[in-house]
Amino acid sequence: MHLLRSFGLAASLLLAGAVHADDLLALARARFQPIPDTPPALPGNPATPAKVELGRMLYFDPRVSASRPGSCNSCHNVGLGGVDGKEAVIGHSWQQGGRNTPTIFNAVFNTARFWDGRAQDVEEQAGGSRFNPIELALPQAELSEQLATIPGYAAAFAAAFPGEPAPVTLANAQKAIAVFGATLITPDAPFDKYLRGDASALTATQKEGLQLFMSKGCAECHNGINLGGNMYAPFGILERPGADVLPRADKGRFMVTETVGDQYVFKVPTLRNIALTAPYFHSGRAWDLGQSVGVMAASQIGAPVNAEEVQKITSFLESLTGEQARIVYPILPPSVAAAQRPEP
Amino acid sequence: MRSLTVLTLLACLGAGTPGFAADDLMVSAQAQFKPIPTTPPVLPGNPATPAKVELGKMLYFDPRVSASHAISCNSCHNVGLGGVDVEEKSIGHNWQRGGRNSPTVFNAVFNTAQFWDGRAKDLEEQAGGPMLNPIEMASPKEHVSEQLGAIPGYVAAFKSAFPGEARPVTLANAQKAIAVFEATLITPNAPFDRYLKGDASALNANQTAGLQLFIAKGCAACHNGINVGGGRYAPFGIVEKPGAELLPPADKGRFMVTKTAGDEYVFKVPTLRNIALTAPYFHSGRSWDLRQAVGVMAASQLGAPVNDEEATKIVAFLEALTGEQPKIVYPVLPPSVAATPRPEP
Repeated sequence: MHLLRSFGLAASLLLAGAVHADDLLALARARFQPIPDTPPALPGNPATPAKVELGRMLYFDPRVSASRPGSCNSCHNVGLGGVDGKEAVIGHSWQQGGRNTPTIFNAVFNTARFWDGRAQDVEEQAGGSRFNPIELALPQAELSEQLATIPGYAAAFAAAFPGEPAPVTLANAQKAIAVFGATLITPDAPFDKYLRGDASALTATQKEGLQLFMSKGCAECHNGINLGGNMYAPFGILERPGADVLPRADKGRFMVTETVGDQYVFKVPTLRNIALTAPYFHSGRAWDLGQSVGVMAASQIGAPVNAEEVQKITSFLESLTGEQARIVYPILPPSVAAAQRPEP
Repeated sequence: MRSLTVLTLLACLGAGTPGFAADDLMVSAQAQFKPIPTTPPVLPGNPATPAKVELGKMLYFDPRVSASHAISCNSCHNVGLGGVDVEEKSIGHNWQRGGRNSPTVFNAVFNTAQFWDGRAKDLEEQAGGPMLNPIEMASPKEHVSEQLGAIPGYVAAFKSAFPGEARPVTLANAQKAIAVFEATLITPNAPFDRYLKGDASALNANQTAGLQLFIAKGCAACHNGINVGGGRYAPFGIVEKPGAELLPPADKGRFMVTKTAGDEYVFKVPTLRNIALTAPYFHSGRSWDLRQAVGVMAASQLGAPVNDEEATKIVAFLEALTGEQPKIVYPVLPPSVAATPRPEP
């Protein structure tokens, strides 16, 4: 409610006409925060170099999947903005996943994982994909067995979790992936520099886009450090989009909560690096950022935007592209004769 | 023929003098093997520039060169897994299985030909194969240039890599760029390389004994040169044909390329560089145990079975062929735009 009120106030200010440059910055700072330069600490899961390194190995290792070709990076590709550039993922046995892959970049700042928020944090999420029969399809008990038969992993887990008598566990693998995932942040986007006080970091068009982004009401849901990722919203608050964009069978958060009001409710996605992460929406059915802005304006805020406004908002969204993570490909410990073989 | 004569000579030397003076062994090894250089070799007609290598690296990791946008070169030639995928046969488009085990990309530049049957003469020619192969990446021939030409970042990258060309975004140029990147995927400074350069202490006693056996038993007749293999073809089963589980009858190897009767079940002798990292073994990928693979080779290729102790020593020597793995920064790939062709599932 507080948010809504301050939004109303800001919107009135913005609607009043051209906002003074300093006011725009002040308004922006009240709603958004820059991405920090260093990874955040995870509660109960302190990062150590050994743990981050283990997490990086696991993230890229296809042996965490039943059939080998799939690693975390297959769908959350660190070279492609943390996504796979596909409508829905291709998983085990070439099955199509149910929803578009959300980006791993800055995911640590989201309050919930997955489009329906069914995991609390990256640690819990890392377990989900691995055992999902249409993603990596690994039977639960097998992950720790698989990794324990690779001598290099036994050593890496021991270094990452010192003092534990049997450190090669699924829970520890999730912890390690989570601390590595927390390093996948993209600071220093033009918008971050702007929020830190560099007014020249945004072009004139981007500033107008920012102003529209707030005055039209986009920032009511897309706010905070990730410009999204911190609340749920029904897709189609004002006007339900067509089934091409909102397939009727996927009822979103309702499938987690079984509460009627949660039908077609999804996590509001981050807009960080959005220019890199087409296609859009949980259905992955929109490939054009401008088109997506139009769909959002009509369905969520009931305030259609004209072509010029779309162009300005899109230009602002492009200023959300940060420095992409620079990752050295890990050298993975070799399988030995005793290691388990992939399943077809 | 000449190499066979040398082999026979060395085999006699080895068999007759188990003591084999340390200096003689090194001289003998230096005559048959060469160390991996510390810098990438120059490819004829395809000079490497930083821009071309960088473009090649992007293409190598980019799944958009496949029809599904799900498979990249790195999917099967994983730079974190010794340049292979640790699969019997790779999984390609629509979950189809490839016909043979994925050979390592590491040091492949030093092989005299590519693929198990040598059907590509070099890396540049090889790079085109999987992209267009319907059971691998399944891209129609025009897909690669159309796809990449519709990604603005690639248009710029091809221009820098191929300056002065009016239309640089072509499949042929993509193959050239991938080839110069792959030429950087070499693994120098293995213990055996240091040994070949004169450091006798680089191999331990077991490994030194294994090297001696490797030469004396005749392994080095085929597995020689810089890649300890990769330099010639040989029938699988010179002396004794292995069972169908290791040598499936339907895959006639190089015969399928040359249609020459003598080439039935002939395959390229694979490199043994980094072999401890690249299980499973053989073109069929049916052997997961290096020691077992050594035994199969001794029986089928040399007709000279090895005992347990010998197998242990030879495996120890093979482990000395693991070099420094390439350190690769994952490339930031240029984003698709609204007009970029979409994946075909």
